[in-house]
Amino acid sequence: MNEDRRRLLKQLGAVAGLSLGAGYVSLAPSGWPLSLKDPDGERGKPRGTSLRLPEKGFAVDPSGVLPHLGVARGANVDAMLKAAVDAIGGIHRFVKTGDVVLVKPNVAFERSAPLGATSNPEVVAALVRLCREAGAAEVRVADNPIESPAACFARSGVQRAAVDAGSEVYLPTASDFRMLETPGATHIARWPFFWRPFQGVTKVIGVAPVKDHNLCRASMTTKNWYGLLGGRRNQFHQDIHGIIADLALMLRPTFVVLDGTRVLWRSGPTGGSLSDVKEGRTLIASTDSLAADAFGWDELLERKGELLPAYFEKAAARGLGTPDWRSTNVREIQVG
Amino acid sequence: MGAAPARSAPPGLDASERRVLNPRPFRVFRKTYSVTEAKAGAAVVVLLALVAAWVAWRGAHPDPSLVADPATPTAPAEAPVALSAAPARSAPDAVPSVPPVAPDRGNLPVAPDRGVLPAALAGKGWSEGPLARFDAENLYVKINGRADFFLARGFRSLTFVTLSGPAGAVVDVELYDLGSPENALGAFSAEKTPEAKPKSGGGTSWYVARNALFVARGASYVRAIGSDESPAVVAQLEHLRKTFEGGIAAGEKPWTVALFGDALGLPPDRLQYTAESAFSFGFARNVSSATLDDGETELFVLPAGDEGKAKALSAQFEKGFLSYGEKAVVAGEPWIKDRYLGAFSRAKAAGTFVVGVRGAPEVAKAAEALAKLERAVLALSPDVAKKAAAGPPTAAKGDADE
Repeated sequence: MNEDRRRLLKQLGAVAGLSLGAGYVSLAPSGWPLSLKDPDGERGKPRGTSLRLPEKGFAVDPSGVLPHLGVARGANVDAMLKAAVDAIGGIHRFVKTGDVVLVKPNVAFERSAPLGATSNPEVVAALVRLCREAGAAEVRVADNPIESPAACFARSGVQRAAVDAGSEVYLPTASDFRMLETPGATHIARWPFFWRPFQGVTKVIGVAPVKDHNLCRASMTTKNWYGLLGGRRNQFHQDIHGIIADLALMLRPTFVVLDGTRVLWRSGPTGGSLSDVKEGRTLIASTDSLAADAFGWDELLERKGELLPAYFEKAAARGLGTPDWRSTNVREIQVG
Repeated sequence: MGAAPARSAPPGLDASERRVLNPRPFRVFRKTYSVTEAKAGAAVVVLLALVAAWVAWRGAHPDPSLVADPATPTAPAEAPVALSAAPARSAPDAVPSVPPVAPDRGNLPVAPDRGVLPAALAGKGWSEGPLARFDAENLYVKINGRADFFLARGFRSLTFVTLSGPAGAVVDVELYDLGSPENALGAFSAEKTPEAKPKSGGGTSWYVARNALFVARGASYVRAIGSDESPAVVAQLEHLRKTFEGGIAAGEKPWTVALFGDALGLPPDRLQYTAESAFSFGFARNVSSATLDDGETELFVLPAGDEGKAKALSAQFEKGFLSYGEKAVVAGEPWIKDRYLGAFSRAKAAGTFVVGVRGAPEVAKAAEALAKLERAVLALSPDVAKKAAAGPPTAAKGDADE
């Protein structure tokens, strides 16, 4: 009988141990060791490895003598763009023969170009031509509007302009996104990224309009990279300044163009009324997104004297630019 | 009751091999099995193997929707890719030369239900495209970055349609159901530009800003955005205005419209409604306000619940105004003068309400308007006071993350 009791106790102990173990792994909070708890199904989702953008981004070697900010004013978009880029070293400093260039406009909304909610298609076309003339093997134009991408590209006129100028337009599809790792980022350390147009790319140029913004007060070249994110990116609006600072970290472009040909000076970012738009007649080329945006804040949105939006300070604290554009080397040109 | 007879082991087995508490569970007790049993067992094994293979295959080929946002295309990460070493594209698979693209609504939700959107929106020479409808969950898909504005004003739904006209002109119609006339007027007033000259009458407030028409009627706020300001677009906007006036129910007149209109002669398009943190004061909720003709003096009213709470709340306002001003007695009345702007502010209890003035450049006019407002508030019926205390409806439950 003693032998039976011992056997019984052993087996009961084994069953109890297994039950406790099973209960633990299934009920323990998801952060605990060996826990299998998956209340929202996230842990069950496939988790592949990620990609990273080049460590130093797509920037060219910095220059100690060339201006960081080229500002061209006038009416002829091609001439203005060339003058602005010439001011920071010329297109050949940035684009070499054989380069594959990605141009990232802001095509976030299904609005016609005069309403100022999207990049001016003439500026996008001029930029594509400039890159082509510099010997780029291929120029791609890509953005990921949340709203119907095809409709946004068509209504804004960017698609037609970009294609006519000699580029390929990449519209996002479900298979175009990959997980991107951005070490040091607060919100997007690992986040779906519009990856397909980046394959084989050697240079990246952003071209963004100057817009008022309901949440972050101003949307310009730094905020423009938001359009490369996938997933439920709207959640980041809870910390809009934090995510913009992350975007500055995520993508370090070859240079940026701040499209001040039109300025959506209120009711942004969507706009709608022509009375919210004013002629800016200005194009800025810069190797420093924060300096370009700060110039836009002061001179194009005409908010000089108002405190800059918080994302400037957050991004500057990471060493990603200089919001004090007056302290940088600036060259201003009147064209025509 | 005698003791239960001891169970004996099957022939050939000793007592330690009994079935109960069998210590050798894998021992074969049967000498032979039938062929049918063996076949059935094999079938079960094959079935289990198929299930296992299916699970493994599904694991390796997950449904993209598992990691996709309903509104934004995404895909799972795959092989590690160092971008600099990413394989070059062998053939252009981007959109090549593309003729003008017919707007593809893609993954936008299409709703056959027009809601309160009137029929016959398209005027002569115009045609109506497919409808799309958005709720609080997916409003950001349509107006990313601007959705908060409407979610803070009782947003229920957005019905969207594009009207196509001659020479490529288009008008986008956005009809926001904001749940109450107070919210609709609040959105209308908040988006109104300083130079706009709105008109109000018959339950409608509206104005045209070059290429765009803005209308508040009933619980609806409508924006009709033209692609340009050509005569065709302007004519279509006028057609839309008339269609909205005739096709959207005006609903019950908000008590604040009656209050500010009857007592002070202020048109509805001057009204603002702030559900939370009015004037940046955390305690100021459910505040209705209107601006006087000078464009600066703002009259406000809010329900407090009872007279005691009204007095306490008015004291909170005084404390709040004092945070950026000093006390100043003018014509025997206590005011607070803004130390930066020189404008005057004041709040006082009026029955179960708090009434007040903010940002007045001239005390005399402000005091006169405040006195009128106070009298009008004290004359409100208990039913109206109860309705005011409830406030207009808030946004429908949804994703307020935007």
